[in-house]
Amino acid sequence: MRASALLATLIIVLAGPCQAGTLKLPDPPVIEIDGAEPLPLVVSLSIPDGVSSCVHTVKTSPFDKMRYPVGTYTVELLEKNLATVFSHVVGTGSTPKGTPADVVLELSIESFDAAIPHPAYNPYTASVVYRVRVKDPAGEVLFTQTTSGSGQTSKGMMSGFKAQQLAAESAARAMNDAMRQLLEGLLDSRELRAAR
Amino acid sequence: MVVRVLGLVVSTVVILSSTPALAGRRTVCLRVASDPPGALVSVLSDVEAGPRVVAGVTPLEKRLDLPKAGRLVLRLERRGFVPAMVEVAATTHVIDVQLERLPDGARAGGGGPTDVTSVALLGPEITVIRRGFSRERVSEEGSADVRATVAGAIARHFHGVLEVVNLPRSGGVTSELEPFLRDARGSTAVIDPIRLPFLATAPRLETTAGRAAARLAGEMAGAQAVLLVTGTQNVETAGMKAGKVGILAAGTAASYASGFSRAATSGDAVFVYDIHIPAGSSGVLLEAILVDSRSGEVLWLNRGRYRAIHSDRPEDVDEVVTDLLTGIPPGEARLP
Repeated sequence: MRASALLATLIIVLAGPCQAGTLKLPDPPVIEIDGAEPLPLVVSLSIPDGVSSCVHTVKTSPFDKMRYPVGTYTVELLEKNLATVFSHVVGTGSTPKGTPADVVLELSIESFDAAIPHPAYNPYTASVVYRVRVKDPAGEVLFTQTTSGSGQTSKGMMSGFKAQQLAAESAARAMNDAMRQLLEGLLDSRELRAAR
Repeated sequence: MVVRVLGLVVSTVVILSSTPALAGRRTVCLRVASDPPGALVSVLSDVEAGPRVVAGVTPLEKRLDLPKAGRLVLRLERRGFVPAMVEVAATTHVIDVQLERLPDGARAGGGGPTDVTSVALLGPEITVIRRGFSRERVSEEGSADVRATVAGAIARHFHGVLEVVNLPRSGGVTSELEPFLRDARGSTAVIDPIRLPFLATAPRLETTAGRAAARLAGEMAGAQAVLLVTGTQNVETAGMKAGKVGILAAGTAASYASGFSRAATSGDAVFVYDIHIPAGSSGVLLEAILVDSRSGEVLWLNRGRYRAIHSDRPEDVDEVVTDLLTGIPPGEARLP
């Protein structure tokens, strides 16, 4: 009886770390772009199925995983910053039909990669590639752009004690970097300036 | 006891048989040709995800492993032609493919940096990160030093071969060329350096603004192409080194282009690579891209991880730059 209880306790203790830990990413920031003047367009944001739910998993040991909520962060980041580029944002979702938008913006996550270093004091790195397509209401593609972002951080010999925080920070940096370029690209787009 | 031993033997056999290297894989000796020749042959498997495998350029003879399950497929690619996929069976020994030209009107693009005699050098955009015992920070001074060192090495590398004009990276010029930097970074991330010269159509910078910025850079320098070198260098401080006594991380002077060149000249080996470069704790990760300033076409790109760059060791920097810029210009190109 005592042996069974001991075994059960052992299983529970061992099973705890086996569960994938979802990283707590920092709140997506508002990205400041000097001299940005929103385009006088009404945009509808289209998030394809799979983007919001995109999660990247890194196996850190035979018993442990880290899960990066890449999709959730990306969508929140985009929603928070779209007003920098477009004067009006209406309707978001996987199929924002029937919205009186001038253009529909569709975002996809082409790739995401993250490295959890061994030994733990080495840099925590992440990279992401976003692709954005802007279409007119008829579905004609007006503009596409692929942006690549990267991030790195570490706390030297102390890194191992803050592994989850550092992994989250490097991922957020990479996504912020790619999103900044994406927003700048939209602002520079001649096609969008001529769209109205 | 007997049951336990039997169980151990059975499980060992199962583990060994599921290990491809020990499972006695079937191999096939293949002769692959194409009309026209000069097509890149990639080996694809529909069941095993893994690094990319290139067998070489047609015509070639290779011994390839057949997977126990699933199919083995060869992909043949050549600029201006529709890519061909050919399935390999255990009985296949000769593959001869007639490549089909792209339809009329399809833009194939050029064959690489063959007609380039002058280059506008943008950057190098290299960031040095100093990693200390308890924190890391970007070193502005170190970054400027490494940028100047690499720029000097690039000038020496092309001396007498290509004209190199350094573009300023200050004032209003920076913002005007920003779309080029964005597009170039995006291209570097998604284009496979080995496949680039063989892709059916030459990729271009993606946005109109990016191509206009490339044109502007070319006009400013009076150059046909724009070369951008970017990278991140991690340098460990004395405190960090003291903190990890006994553990060494050595960089390797290795890039895609030189790796492929070595494999191609060595004859019998297939070139196995992965587009992902593993993160390193020290050294420099460099990426370089050459873009036709007139059309925005990506002519060449390469990336690699090297030993850290130090301005007081110019010979080492020359070695790194020579490896990174493998492929530009191609052998015969010289200044008139």
